[in-house]
Amino acid sequence: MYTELFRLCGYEDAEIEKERPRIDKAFGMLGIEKEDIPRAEKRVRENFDLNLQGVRQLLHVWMDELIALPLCREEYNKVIYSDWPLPGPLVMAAHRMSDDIYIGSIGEVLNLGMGQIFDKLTPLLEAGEETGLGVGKAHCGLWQTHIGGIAKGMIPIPDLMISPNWYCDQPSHADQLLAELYDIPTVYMDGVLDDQWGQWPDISEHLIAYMGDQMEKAFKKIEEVTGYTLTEEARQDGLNDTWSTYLNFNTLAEMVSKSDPQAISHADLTLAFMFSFTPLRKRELANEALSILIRETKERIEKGEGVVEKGAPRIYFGLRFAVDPTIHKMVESLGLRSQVVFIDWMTPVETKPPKSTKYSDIVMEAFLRRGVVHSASGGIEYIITYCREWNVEGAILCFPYSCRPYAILPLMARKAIKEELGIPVLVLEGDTYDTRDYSAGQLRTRVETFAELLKMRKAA
Amino acid sequence: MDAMDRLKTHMDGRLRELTKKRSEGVKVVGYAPGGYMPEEMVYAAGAIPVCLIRGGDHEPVAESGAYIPRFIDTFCRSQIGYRMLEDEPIYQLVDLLIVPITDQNMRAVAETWSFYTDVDVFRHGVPCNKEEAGYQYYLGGLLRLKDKLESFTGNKIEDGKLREAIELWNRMRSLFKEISLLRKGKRPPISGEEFARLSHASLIADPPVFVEILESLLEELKKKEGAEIAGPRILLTGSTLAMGDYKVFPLVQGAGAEIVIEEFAEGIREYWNNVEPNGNLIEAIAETYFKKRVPPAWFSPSVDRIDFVLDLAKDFGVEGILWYQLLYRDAYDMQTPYFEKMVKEKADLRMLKVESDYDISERGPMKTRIEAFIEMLGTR
Ligand code: SF4
Repeated sequence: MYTELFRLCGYEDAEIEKERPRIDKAFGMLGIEKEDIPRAEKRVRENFDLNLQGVRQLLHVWMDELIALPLCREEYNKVIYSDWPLPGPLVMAAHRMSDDIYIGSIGEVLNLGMGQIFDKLTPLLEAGEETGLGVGKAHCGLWQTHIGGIAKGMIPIPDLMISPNWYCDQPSHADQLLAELYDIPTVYMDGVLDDQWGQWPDISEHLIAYMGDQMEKAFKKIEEVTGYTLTEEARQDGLNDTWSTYLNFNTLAEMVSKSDPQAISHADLTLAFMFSFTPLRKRELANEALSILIRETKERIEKGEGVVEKGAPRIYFGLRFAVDPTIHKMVESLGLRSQVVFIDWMTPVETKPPKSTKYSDIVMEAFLRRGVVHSASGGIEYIITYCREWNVEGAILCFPYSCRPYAILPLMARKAIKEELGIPVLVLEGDTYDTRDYSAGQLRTRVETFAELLKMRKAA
Repeated sequence: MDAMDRLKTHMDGRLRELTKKRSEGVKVVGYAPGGYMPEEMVYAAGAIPVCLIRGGDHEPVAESGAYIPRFIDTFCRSQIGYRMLEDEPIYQLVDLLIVPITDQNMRAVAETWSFYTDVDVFRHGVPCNKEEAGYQYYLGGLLRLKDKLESFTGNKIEDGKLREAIELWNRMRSLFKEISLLRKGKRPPISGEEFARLSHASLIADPPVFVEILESLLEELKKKEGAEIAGPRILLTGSTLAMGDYKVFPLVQGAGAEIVIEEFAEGIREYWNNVEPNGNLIEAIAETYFKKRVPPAWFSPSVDRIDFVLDLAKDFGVEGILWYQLLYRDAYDMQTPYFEKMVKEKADLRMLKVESDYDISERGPMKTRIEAFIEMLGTR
């Protein structure tokens, strides 16, 4: 029933046959049924550029992850769950400790698989709501999905949860709820964003050290629960995995940013964006996918082909939609070129060598160097740097309903951008992890008017 | 004049007094509630600590929409609203604002004040666990706060002055504790609402005057016998109980019950533990304010809070728990499922959760639910 879908996702027929027993079992657990397949095929065809082999392979990686997740209990000796905003190198390093350990950012895997591909996230979100992240209370969709997957029995109870509350509050509350309801051992990675206004990019050493210490605490707990030792080599591999994928993504994003016409869609790029935060069982396949896509993008640029017409107004677009490809497609269809999206590009601050010397401190410093993560003042400066360096003609500051740490920023940033750069700014409320209330159709009218305004300014 | 009348007179003149002191060059230091900002340190620096604790009004909530998204906690949104509306005078007097960063909602207060006002805002972090590293971080924050207060006021925080301030606040806490414990009996001499108002006044009043009034009040209350509580005894708990937000008290009383004890993250002064006025005083403060303080729901783990509430419920002969949370205070909303389960399992206590966005339209449904809850408790 699903052969064609897997072909679209870059699988060879022999591989589909080989994987069939696992796929059947995983789909059974995830509640993916016969009638879901045509919808997924249609969604994949309509929203992703399947002429690009690299895009097919990106989908392949996520499909692999989606299948591995429900089966993790029977295929691995130890199971560890976490999720964004977990520092990538932590999970990657733990992933490198042994092939015996399953470690996953489960909400992200479900978002990419059940959201982007199958458009079947609602049952998970609803289960999260019923379990305690109630409806209409601005709880994070990512964590509703995370909790919902466990509550619905779609995915097994883990041996350990790593709860990343160094940036936002939702993970620790959600994990605490799970820990109490299902008696799951949990390690909480605390953090305190208390640097002063205007301090970024000068990040306090005590802040870095505290967060680094919390990361070490998580490592220790992983060792304790799994019985494996986290070697220096595993740490380094974890860092390299994160870094190499991130650099590949960065190269690709920068090529797209510079291309005019915009060479590929941000819907396709979003599939790659999540790689550097997520432990992947087939990282080589992911890096290969990125390399292919880089080559294919280059070819398109050379031929002058693209997905948005040449000379379209250039904007900064402040969010990547993790579960729904249609929003980026909608923006592109209205003739706007999202030259730089969310936090895709590294500001000059981030390319300088770190001041920390300890492994965990270096990792946490890298996170805090992202202005939007550090503080509202850092975020404003960061976004203004993006807009200025890329000389954009407008900005859409799209923020997720329910994401308190990120949503503190946009209204301030709008004022600051208008005052400093004098370009039009549209503030849009959306939800990167839950599109029940924020569909492309609903947001379209406002983006359409904004696009007209930018085109008129350009013409004048 | 009895103590409550004296307090009223003092509070009526407090704004004038603060304005006068400020014009004489004394700094007014505002701070966010939650029990993590040691007022003793501000006082020892020769400044006046004033808590930003107003709440319950709809206008500031509506006003805040121009500055921060609506899905930040109601009380925290109000704090930017009061300042921007310019009709709550104390909010205009603040020279320095100290915000202990407890969660993202409180961080929103700090960030918006920094961006939209010309007030100097100082942040110090409150880690969400009580491990040694967390304690050390909090302590480091207090040391940075000390430096900030010294440079801001131009006054050194000498040990002698700090010890005096600690002793004054210890006295205040002890008096609150004694008064609170009087409510264990069948005929509490002070109602839940009076106690909350007293607690709020303590966050703004002149500390020595307030302590003197509290001394007299305690003596008066010891001699007084309140009316016998006919209906169920209620424990009120939740995220924030703001000054001006007293709507649940008459609703509970009207349904024939009485609130005999309360536990809040913000709004009720923390009075269970005193600071040891010896040794390294900043460490002693950190010990009490951080280690001994009951963890709010945004700590992880925060189950100690449940045990504390259960102890209170037992000590005060409580028959039901009223959980009063503000809209979008995520940590509290997410704790209710297991909190409710645990209090039922461990102490056979029933709980009702009500929520507010400081909107008048909530009153009717809230009244109906509270009445039904009290009636249910009465039939058990
Ligand atoms: S979307 Fe926001 S609230 Fe949700 S996990 Fe990410 S940072 Fe936290």
